[in-house]
Amino acid sequence: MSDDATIFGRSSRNFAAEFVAFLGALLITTGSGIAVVLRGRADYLLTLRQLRIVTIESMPVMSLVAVMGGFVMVFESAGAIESTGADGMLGWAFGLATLSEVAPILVALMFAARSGARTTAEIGTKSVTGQLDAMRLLGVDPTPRLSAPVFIAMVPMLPLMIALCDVCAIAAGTAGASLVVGVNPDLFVISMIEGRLLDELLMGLVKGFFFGGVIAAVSCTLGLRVTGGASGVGHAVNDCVVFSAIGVFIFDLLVDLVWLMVAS
Amino acid sequence: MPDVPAHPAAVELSGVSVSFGDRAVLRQINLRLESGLVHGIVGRGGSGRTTLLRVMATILRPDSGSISILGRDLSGWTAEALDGVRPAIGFQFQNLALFDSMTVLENVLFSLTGGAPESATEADRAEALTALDLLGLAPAAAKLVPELSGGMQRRLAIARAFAPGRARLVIFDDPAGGLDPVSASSMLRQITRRSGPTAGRTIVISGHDMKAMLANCDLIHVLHEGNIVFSGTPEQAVGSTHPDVAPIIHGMRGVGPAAVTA
Amino acid sequence: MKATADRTGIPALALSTIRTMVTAPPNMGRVVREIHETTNRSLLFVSVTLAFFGMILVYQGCMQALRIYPDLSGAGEIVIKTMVRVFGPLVTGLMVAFRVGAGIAAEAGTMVVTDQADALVVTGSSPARWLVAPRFAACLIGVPVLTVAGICAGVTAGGVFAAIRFEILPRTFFDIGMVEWEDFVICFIKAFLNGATIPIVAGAAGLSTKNSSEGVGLATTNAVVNSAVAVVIIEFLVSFIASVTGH
Repeated sequence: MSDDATIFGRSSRNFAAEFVAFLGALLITTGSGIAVVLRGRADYLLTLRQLRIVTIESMPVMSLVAVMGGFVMVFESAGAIESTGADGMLGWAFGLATLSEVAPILVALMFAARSGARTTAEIGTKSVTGQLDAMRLLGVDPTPRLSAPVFIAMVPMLPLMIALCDVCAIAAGTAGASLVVGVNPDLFVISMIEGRLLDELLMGLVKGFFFGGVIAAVSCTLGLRVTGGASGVGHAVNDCVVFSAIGVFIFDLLVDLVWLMVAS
Repeated sequence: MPDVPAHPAAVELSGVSVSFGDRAVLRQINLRLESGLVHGIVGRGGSGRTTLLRVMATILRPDSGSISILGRDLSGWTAEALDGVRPAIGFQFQNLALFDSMTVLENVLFSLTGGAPESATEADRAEALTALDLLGLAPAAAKLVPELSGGMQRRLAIARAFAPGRARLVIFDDPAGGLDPVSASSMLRQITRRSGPTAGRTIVISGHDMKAMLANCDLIHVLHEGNIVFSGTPEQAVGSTHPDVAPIIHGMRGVGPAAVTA
Repeated sequence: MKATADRTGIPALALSTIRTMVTAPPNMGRVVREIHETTNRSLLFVSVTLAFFGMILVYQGCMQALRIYPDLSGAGEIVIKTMVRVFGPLVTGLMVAFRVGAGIAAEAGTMVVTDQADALVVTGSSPARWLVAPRFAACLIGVPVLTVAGICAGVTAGGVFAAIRFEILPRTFFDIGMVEWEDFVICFIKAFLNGATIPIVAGAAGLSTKNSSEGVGLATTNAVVNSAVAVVIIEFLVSFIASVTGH
């Protein structure tokens, strides 16, 4: 496949201009979406639909990945702790890394791949089949029906789902600690509690909030900007996951920087 | 020619059934197609023509029944049996299914080399160009499929189906579909007479333009609601008074108001 | 239309692909082109994401370490070890799944919908042979290469960040003392398996497209999610085996 409608792969001459245009569109979509939400004008039924779909389609993948991630983190943390010989610190080390970084990122990436992609595909198809143009022609602003419900669904739901996935990851970590690493599960859990990881837990949830915003903004913006028919929708979906991933990592670092700076 | 020994029957289907979900499309088909002839499969839309052709081309596995293509028993549907007989089969799809990321020449080379166009020898390329030339496509050899007109695409599909010289059983799924009667006749004539030596080759065509089919096929087989209800010469078909056969033969005179009757 | 005669579920496709690699290996020129495509499309993306992740690791790690004891001289070692062992292959694998998986599925799905997949079968080839095998071979090489590039990017960005924010000298940071040969082995095993799995899982998703252009879009999304999950599962399995066998 030689056609590359995505930004990475085009000549760098266009890159800067397109990038700026995209950022602009991102801000506009986010701004108008949030404005509609705050004014309470988001379409009620469509919002409910988004809430329902977003949870149902993503939870299975996210929890699976959270479980896998939990196991991996406990195995690797065990390796790190081994050298210090402090079994009693395993729970803390595991919880720290998992709750604050690994779980939120993994879960958000899966969310982008599933719900973000689907959102871009839905909106993009509407764009390509002329429904958006029809709306605009009739003087109807698509935002309350398209982007606002997505923001309402993704921004609060993602932290919630991360919280649930944290439970899955901790369960997996405890099981892994006891069955594979040979650390007493009680010791493991106590270590986590004593480590006072509430801070990390909250940071993870706040990240989820921002991740939800990023994924909502990126998926809606790309959907609205689709050109070129069915294959254009395909490219937009691909771009959505790619840009969401980058956005997730950027905001992860940002939240880290601000939070830990404020905390200390 | 590929290493498939000659056999009196190119296609032998016995008790072949195909269902999609709970919809039975082919019911206990018994069909024997003699080698070296042009066979026409006719029937109303939805009668299962495409499905039947796909089974013959080994693209679709029947749910039950036995099937023998070019003398090879394929009932086990093993990879070895299929790989042994597929090089000798050519197929033209209803929607052409040309490889749209490849050039005209590459499409023909693809079937000629059995899926490895990069390994094509000079002799292979010469063969392919000759085949294209027979269909008037030689000047377009280096063009990509999307650049071709509809008519050129059809001819390319024919060239690819004949896998220049190699295919012993060549199957055409509604090659004249959507064409006006004059073009339809011309298309069928092209397939059955002018597309290269037809000796030793068995050709199967499905269609609904009865005039063209009756004029160009050696044998006609009528498919009605998943069953073969008639097999015989065009003359016999025209003279048949079978209640399921006559309406199809006489009522379907290609595109136009006459087709609405029966 | 019903699926082609040759089954295209993941196990069947995996077997077909491996069989093709052995009996009728894909054309070298084609494989090289696919390597170029895969690496070209993904290199920048993988490097950027891993650079951010490197910085994240450094920042988190150092801030937490500072709570316990003020000596950050071991920070670089741990970051590098973890990058090599876990996060390099994991994040690279996920990014490749996102970037490359979609492309494979889209092409496969479009071919299914236009009957070209069946045309492959009837002209003597097969989707495994034409679509998947070349990309399988390409990713076996390309994904490890990308993983190495990603780890380099991540470690470098982490080191720069460490120097600026925590004033850790590069000399101190870029210390591979803690990294053992088994970490490299684990890294390559994961990267290799990622490269092997992504084309097959994405290809299988693309080949199971049901109907029309919406079907292709759905198949593409499934391809991305399924290959990403496969990467995580591989990460889990290798980590598990390594942990159990004491590595």
